Amino acid sequence: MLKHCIIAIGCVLLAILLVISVAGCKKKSNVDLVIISPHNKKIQTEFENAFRKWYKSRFGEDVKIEWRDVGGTTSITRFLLSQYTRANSSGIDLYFGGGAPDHKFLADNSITVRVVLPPQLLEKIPAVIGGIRQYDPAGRWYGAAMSCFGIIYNAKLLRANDLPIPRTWDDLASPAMYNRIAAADATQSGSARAAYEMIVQSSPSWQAGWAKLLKIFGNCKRFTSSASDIPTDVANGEILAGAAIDFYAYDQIAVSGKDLGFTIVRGATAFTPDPISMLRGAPHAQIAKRFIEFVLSRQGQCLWCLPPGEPMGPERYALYRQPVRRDVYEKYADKMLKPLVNPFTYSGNFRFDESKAAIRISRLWAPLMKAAAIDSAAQLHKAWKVIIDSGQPADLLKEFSRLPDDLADEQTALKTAKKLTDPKQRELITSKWQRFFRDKYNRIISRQGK
Amino acid sequence: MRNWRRYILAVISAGYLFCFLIVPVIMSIKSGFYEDGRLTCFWLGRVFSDLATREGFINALLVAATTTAGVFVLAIPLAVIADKYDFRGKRLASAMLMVPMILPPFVGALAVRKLLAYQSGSVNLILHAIGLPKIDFLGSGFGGVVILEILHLYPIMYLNALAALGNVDPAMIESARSFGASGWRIFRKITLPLIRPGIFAGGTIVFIWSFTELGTPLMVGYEQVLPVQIFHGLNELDTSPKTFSMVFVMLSSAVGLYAIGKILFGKAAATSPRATAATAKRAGTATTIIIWFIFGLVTILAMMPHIGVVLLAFARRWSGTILPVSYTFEHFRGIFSQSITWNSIVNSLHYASLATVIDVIFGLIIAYLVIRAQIKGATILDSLAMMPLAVPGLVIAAGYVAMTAGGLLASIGPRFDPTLIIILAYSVRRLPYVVRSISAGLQQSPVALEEAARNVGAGPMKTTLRITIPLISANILAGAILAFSFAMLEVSDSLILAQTPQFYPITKAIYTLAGPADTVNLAAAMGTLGMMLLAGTLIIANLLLGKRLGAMFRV
Repeated sequence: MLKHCIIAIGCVLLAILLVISVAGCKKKSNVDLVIISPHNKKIQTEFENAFRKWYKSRFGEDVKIEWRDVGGTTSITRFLLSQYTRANSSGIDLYFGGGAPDHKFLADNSITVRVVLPPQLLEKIPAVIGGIRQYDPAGRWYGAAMSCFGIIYNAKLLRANDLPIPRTWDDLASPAMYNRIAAADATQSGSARAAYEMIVQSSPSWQAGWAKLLKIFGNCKRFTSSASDIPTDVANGEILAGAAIDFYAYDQIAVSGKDLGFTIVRGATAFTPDPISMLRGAPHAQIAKRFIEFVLSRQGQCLWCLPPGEPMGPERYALYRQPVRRDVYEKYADKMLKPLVNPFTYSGNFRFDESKAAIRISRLWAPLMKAAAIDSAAQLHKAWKVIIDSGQPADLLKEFSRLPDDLADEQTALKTAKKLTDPKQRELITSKWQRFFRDKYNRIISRQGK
Repeated sequence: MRNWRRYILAVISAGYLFCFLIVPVIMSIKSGFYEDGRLTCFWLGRVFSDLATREGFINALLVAATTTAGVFVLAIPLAVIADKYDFRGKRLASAMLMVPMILPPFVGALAVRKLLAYQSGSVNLILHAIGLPKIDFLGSGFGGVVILEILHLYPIMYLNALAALGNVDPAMIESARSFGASGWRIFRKITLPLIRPGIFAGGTIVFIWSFTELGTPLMVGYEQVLPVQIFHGLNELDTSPKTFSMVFVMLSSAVGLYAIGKILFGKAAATSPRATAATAKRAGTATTIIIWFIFGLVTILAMMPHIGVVLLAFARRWSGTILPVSYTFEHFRGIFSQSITWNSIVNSLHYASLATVIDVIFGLIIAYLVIRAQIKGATILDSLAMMPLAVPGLVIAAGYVAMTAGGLLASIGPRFDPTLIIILAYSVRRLPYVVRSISAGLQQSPVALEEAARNVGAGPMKTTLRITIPLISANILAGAILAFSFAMLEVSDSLILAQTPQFYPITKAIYTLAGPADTVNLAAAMGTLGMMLLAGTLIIANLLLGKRLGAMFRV
């Protein structure tokens, strides 16, 4: 009897499941604006609510926004590419968020289109900060927020280990941090590539930058596949510090509390735009343009940086993002969420070279970090320990930071980077690097005790 | 049924397996050896000359060897105790030991970094509180992966060892004892050699399983291991032939190991189902307490990661403390209010239910042809249907990637709409469970009843529908439930084949959400939901199949 009951229940359950799965087909409803975005739910909610109110007060109508979620920046770019190879429109109006390289790439493939902003709005947006363009001169993308790299640290554990709070990139390269930091894997994480590019550019030279990076990698306990793993590991106390994107760090601090902290390296930090752009064949072009104008308006910019409940600020969530408008930083300096900084004063004299960065980020960083650090992680870790233990003698340090001949200086490295497009060439060149670094580390390890 | 009809059915089911199992595997192998239409071994050579992939391969072998050794050490003593003693609550204790089998280590890994982290991980905080030094469990990640896999896979070994012990003829042990051999000597000289085939069979499964496991190292963050390297390779925009060569290396190692296992240890030993009465001793109170302590300890250890996941799912704030400081239902509500989570549940239901339907249809056909009709070539069909047990999910998924890499099939590939290939991949992967379950039912239901129906004039169709299917309905349902619930939490196919979130199944959603600080609790809530689903369905399957459920996981 029991068996029959179970069979009956099982059949009913299966039937319900089938109904659910068939009913899973999405219902269509009237929407006035479709936005694809990697931004989190909090950002989506705040911008949607504020825009709807703004729109209602200006144009007297209610707008309905549909957010398309296809994952992170890379997934979105891939998704849009595949959509536009098949049709002239994706049915989506705006791409909001993601990195500038992706928006540039889509603009070059005419997937995003030109939007002309009213001049009184455009003049409020800085064209360049610290050498980095904040919007496309042709109007195909506009930086809506800024983000930067800094160092997230576990203050409580640093204190417990009698270590100072890291303030510069050199602090991460210090022997005191041996086995106490981690870094994201440049082959997996686009933002890691950008971070390492910045560490190198903020150094006096290509060689000096690499010497610093290799020490940092030598200190690493592990390499994580995603940049967002670093804040988690710091919170768990698996490591004490690491490089992280500002908003990942702030999110983690918001979750984990005041034991954690975040440093933005003064004078050696690039603030990169997080753009918004209109897509080709946008079905609701007019409302989409108004949304861009709203995001760049003072009110839209205040949503990023003011605490919830503040006039002009968000309703429920603190978003912890850097706005792009200078007037917002000046007018709301005292009201702004605590950890945010003013990039106009914080970038100092640092000038980021975007053209070099573009080539190196897209071609060089992934295979080079793979060869230099990931593939020989254990040997690198051990070699660096040998150097630390022997008091960092100059000859060993020189050997440690030596690069392969085809990467020895900046110009040669750029030339080599251009050769890496062909898969077979890349495989052969990078396998030489791999041997070079492995042999070098092994030589240093074998000098131990001599 | 006339003969030709049987062969048509046989051809259809063989065709299904050929198209969706053999062809993808061949395509993926081919992609590693062909470049611009020419045959080349360059990429296969690179797999071994490249330091990273070579070490990835060695690390995968090391993970598998360590896991298998750990599983031996943990499971065999438990099986010996369970075989030797009858004690109060034995059934419950044994059932408890099986629990980790159903808890996917992929989900458990969500909490492992929280529990085992060096400075503020819960385990180290406990160690610190009782005055012991903190241990760096995770290191590069190797330790974490091995611990999780041992705790997940020991039930397989336990089941195999217990079955083998059950078949040892007590007369042999009696006679050894009457000659004055000590207990240890009997175990070493009589029992161990007799159960060797059984435990090595279990060992082979554990070894291959941990060798090809993707989800656990991926979640723990242990990247220098072959399956994870293949995974990253398959996720690149243009998959390099090297990745497919790595797939080939993995497949041939797995198949080779499987074959070695079969040849060396597959032969039936001198065991027979027990002729004499069971020899289990009745345990006294003290012994019962000790046994319960051991069984309980292992179960609790094995469930630790999953308890951690449940805690994480309810935690509002958990940082630097052994347990969360405050709790909330927020994350469970999040599952239903966020599009990515809710969508993924609907997707998984959709994929898994359709895959189950396919499995039941082909399971019925194949089991019927092999058990009842006993057509020529039945063994070939049967081994073909069992093949997915030996072919790692990663390899099948890589095959579908290769198959849909270009041309007409690109539109059902991972970059566009992978619904169809996900359903097919799920169905192929879980077919063996359904075939086994239904075959067991057919073997047990008397043929005479079907013959009687035929004698009184019922056609083959009517006999099947009115007599055979009702008789084996419990088995069909149990097989379907197993296939369904495993498909709901299928890891490697899901991670590789679903590349845009609108098609994400549950596991891929968990993987994506596990990274960022503000969604890791949501991932844990999803994981908790998944575990509840799996536990629920397996309890139902267990009630339907009884003891035979264990047979599903034996070679």
